[in-house]
This record gives sequence, structure tokens and C-alpha cells, in this order.
Amino acid sequence: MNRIHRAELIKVFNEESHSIIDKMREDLAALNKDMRDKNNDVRTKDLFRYAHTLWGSSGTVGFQEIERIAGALQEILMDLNGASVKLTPDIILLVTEGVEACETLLEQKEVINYQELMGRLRKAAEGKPKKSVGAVSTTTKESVGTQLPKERGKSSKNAHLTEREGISEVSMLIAATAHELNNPMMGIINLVQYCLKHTPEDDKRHAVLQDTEQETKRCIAIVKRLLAFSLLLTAGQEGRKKESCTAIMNKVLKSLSYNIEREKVSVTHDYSEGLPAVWMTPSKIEQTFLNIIGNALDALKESEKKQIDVKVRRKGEFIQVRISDSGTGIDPQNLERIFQPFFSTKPAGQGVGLGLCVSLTNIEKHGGKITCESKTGQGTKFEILLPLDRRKTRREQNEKERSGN
Amino acid sequence: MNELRIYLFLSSETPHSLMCVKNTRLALEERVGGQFDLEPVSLLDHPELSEERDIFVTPTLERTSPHPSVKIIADLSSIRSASAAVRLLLNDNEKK
Amino acid sequence: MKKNVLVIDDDAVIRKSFTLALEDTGYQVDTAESGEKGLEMQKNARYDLIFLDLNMPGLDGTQVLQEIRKLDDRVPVYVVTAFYQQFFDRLRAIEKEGIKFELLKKPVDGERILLLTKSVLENPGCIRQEEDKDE
Repeated sequence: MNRIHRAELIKVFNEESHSIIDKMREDLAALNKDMRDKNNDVRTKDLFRYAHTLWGSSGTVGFQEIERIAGALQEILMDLNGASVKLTPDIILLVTEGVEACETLLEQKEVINYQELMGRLRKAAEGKPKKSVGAVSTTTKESVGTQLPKERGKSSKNAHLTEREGISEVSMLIAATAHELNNPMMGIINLVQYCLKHTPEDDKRHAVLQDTEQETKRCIAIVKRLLAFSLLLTAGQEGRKKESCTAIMNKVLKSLSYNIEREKVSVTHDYSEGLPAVWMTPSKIEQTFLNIIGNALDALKESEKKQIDVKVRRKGEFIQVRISDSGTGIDPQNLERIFQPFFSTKPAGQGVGLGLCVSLTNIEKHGGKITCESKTGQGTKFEILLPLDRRKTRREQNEKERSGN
Repeated sequence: MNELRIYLFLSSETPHSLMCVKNTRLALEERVGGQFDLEPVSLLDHPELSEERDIFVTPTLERTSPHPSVKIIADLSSIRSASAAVRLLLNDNEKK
Repeated sequence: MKKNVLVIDDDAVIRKSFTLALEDTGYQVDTAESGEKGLEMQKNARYDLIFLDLNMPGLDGTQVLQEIRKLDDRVPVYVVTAFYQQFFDRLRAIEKEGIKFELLKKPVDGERILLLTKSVLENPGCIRQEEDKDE
């Protein structure tokens, strides 16, 4: 039971893998044609595109061998100048190796070692600062969150697992396991219900069967929650429109007004006039604001000073939303981990620690950035930046989808 | 809040689904005139709603307002069957 | 005439779930462990209701659905699936072709299987879904 057979993962992501392999076959066919027609000269950009597809596929199917090949190919390509390049034997070898590795993958001859996958997930959860997006930068211990795109690009060439990919891996693992459990769960509940139907109530087994039914329903509910979580993390771009951040914030504050009043929290807002609208999925942004302000309200429960300040203004090509509270602040060692899945400082039973993780995903899918600054005793500040350029939002989304998010 | 709000959960947006929506709309108009808000939802597009609203099969009609909420699993492929479904949906006292 | 139901699923415990749930209803419940087998059975005896698994080796659910519809565009086909985006992508292609199908969310228990089947096969074709007391 120590190995997750690749076949199981492939079964779940068959469609995506197949389309990536098809794309790679296309690219390889085009390359082969170029080689024949142009006597081994090919356009560098075609090679890059091929390497990019390989790289993307390694992120999706999580296969280190492909990652290694893609990495090696990219290294070579980085050194080449000019619009066209003579295909050297080692490039040709790498290109062919890449396709072979993927085909082997699909033939289910390879297995991924469960320990290996768990190790990678653990590493991602620990958030290695230098290689990760969304982890603490070692210079400013008080701030954490997404790095700007150009910083991200620098580390991704050698990245093993960034926090974003870590979330994707967790999501894949969860979905695959949940799916496997669905059939046996359905079987068990039906078998038990059948027995119940045919066991007289005065039979002492009747009550036991009822308990069995209950426990099975409990398992099903847990699996549903897991699946819902994995869906949340991989949801796409539906329902995008232009919407004002100020309007969303007002809506959120209004929906929380009962709690705000009950907790006797003072909320001030400072909205700039005439702010342009942002291209967004309003429900996702609403969910994010709701999550952060909800967390603030929880943080203020034990606080003497109960204050939340909300600012919405323009910052260059972004709308900047700042939410700060006068709560107890976040410990530096926890600050590194607040955006990670299942991280929570609340007592067991109160939330599972997915709120900020989902919020990070939401904002990043909009091409935005979310950061947090906090000092114990001095409160916490969240800053969200959302791009005004619609093309940037869409480009970020496509980039993430291509890199196997 | 006496407004009549109804969700129609469908599998997808095929000609058949659109016909179900049309039949439901007609059946509702027949019973309550124009005083209703019917929102068709494709679960293919919004699978998460099945969990939120506890919808396990399509098509399902859910009346969310006025309370209490009622869910009817129905065949909506004809006006006759849609009318039967709507009657069940709007009548709180009717037992299975 | 006796109403008949066909369950197409490669997993034996799923086929069993439907059989047990619909025992004593008076409906004829037949099962097929593959898409190919299911198609053959539908060709030989027009069913009144078909439950179809999406994820099967060999002919998968969407292919079976397409083939069924070529023969019969009226029979209600319930695609039994855990609602998962990746599986839904295949269904989108079906949707684009305008092929009619319904969705049945897995896992589903015997009470709900019975409720649904009754609503499809009996008049007047509608039935009330009770609140799940255990939610």
C-alpha cells in the first residue's frame, strides 16, 4: 500500500495528459518536418515552445523525469542565439526522450513512489523561502504573500515545488483519493440499507446496522468536503465581469454588519472616488474580502481595541485594497504559513484553515497579489492588489493553466 | 418576503434542457401569472451548487422562497408533466 | 408491460447497489459490466431507463451515450458521476452536440435511487425530495 500507482492518477487526469501528449506529438512532428525541410535548422521559438509544453506537462503530471528533460532542454536553449538553431544530436535526443517519457507514463509502466510524493508535498508545506512563491522573504520577516511576476519568473527555472504547485499537488492527491473512495462508499451504504430493510427492528443487529449506516454517511460527508475543497482550488474563470472593488467591499461589510455590531467593532472605510472597475469574478473577490474581514473579527474577540480600517484606492496599474485590524497580531513563525492549506490557529472544530489558502488562489488567478504584514501586539494588515489591465488578468490565468495549475 | 423564487437545476444546456425551461415557465405562468422568478442552472457549469443546495439528480426544481424550501424531482419534457411538477412545488401540504 | 432498467457500470458493487435498491419494485433490473455489453443489451431490448457510468475502460460513458442516442433519442439516460470538473469536460463535448442526458450524483444511496426511479417510471413523473436529515 506504499505506492500510489501512476495508473490511478492517470485515470483521473487522463484527458489533460492526453491533450498534452497530443500537443507534444504535434510539436515533435513539426520539428521533424522542419529538420527535413531545412536540413536540421529549426526556429528557436519552436524549440522553446516544445520545451515549455514539456515543462508544463511535468507540472501537471508531476513526473520528475520529464522535469529533468525539460530543464536540460531549456538550459541548452538559453545559451543559443539567433532565430534558428542547428539541431545537435543532444537536442534531438532530449526532444525524443521527452516524448518517450510521456508515452511511457501513459502506458502505466512507471509508478510514482508514495514516499516521494509525500516528501514533495511536505517540502512545499514547509515553504522553502528562496524557491517559493507566497513564502516569507528572508529580508522582511513581517511580510508574506505573493511575489511580483518578474521575481517569480527568476526562480521558476529551477523550481522544484513552489507553494502554488504544492497546492496543485495537494489538490490532485485529494481529488484522486476522494474519487477512489466514492464507489466503495456507495456500495457500502446501499448494502447496509438493504440489510436494514430486511432486518426486523427487534433484532439486536438492527441498531448496529443503523450505526453502520450513520458512520458510512459520515465518511461520505468527509469525502464530499475533500472533493469540494479540491474543486475550489482548481475552479476556473467563470462569471468574469467588470466590477467595482468598493461595491464588493460595501456588500461584504453589509453582510457582516450584524457580527460587527455584536462584537462592538468600529469599522472605518476610506474609498477613493471614481475608481475604475476591475475585471473579476465578483463572487471570488467577495469570498476573499469576506474571509479576511471575518478573520479580523475573530482576531478582535480577545482584543481591547476593536478597530478595522478598510482602504480602497488606486496604486498605479492596480486597485489597492487594505484591510487592517487592531488585533493581537500574528506570531512571526505562523506568519510564514498563513496562506498554506489546512493551517489554522483556531481551536479544533472551528474552521479547517482553508480560507486564506483559497483567498490566495482567488487573487492570484486574477493576476493580483496579496500580502500580509503583522506584528504581535500591533495588529495585522492585509494588502490586496488587483490589476486594472484586463489582458494582464487573462494572461496570468492562461500562464497558470499552462504551467499545470 | 412573498416573492416566488424557483431554481431549475439541469444537467446541461441542450435543446432538451431549454425545452424543460420553457415548459416550466409556461406551467408557472399558467398558475401564478407573471409573479415569479425562475432561474435555470446548468450543473455542468456550476457543479458546486449541487453540494450547496443538496441536488443529487437533474432535473430538480427548488423553491427557495417563500419558506420552507421545497425540492421536486421531475420530468419536465412536456407541459403536462411540468404542470404536475409545478403543482407539487407550490403546494406545501401535498404529501409524497 | 413491465418496466425495465439497465445499469451500465464496470464496478460490481455499483451494479449491486442498483439491483438491491430496486429489488421488490416490480421493475426488471438488468446490468452490464461494460459499455459494449450495455449497448448490445439496449439494442436487443429497449430499456425505459438507463444508468450509465462515465469512467469505464474500453468504451467510456460518453461514447456509450453517443451510441445509445443514435439508436434512441428518447430513453432517459442518467450519467452516474461524482461531480468532478475533469469528467465534466467530456460531457461538455456531448452537450455541444445537443445530446440529451441527465446527471445523477455519486455516491447515491438506495432511498434516493428508488425515489428517482419512481419519478421517472411512474406517473405523474414528479416526486418530492425530502430534506436530508443527516446533513
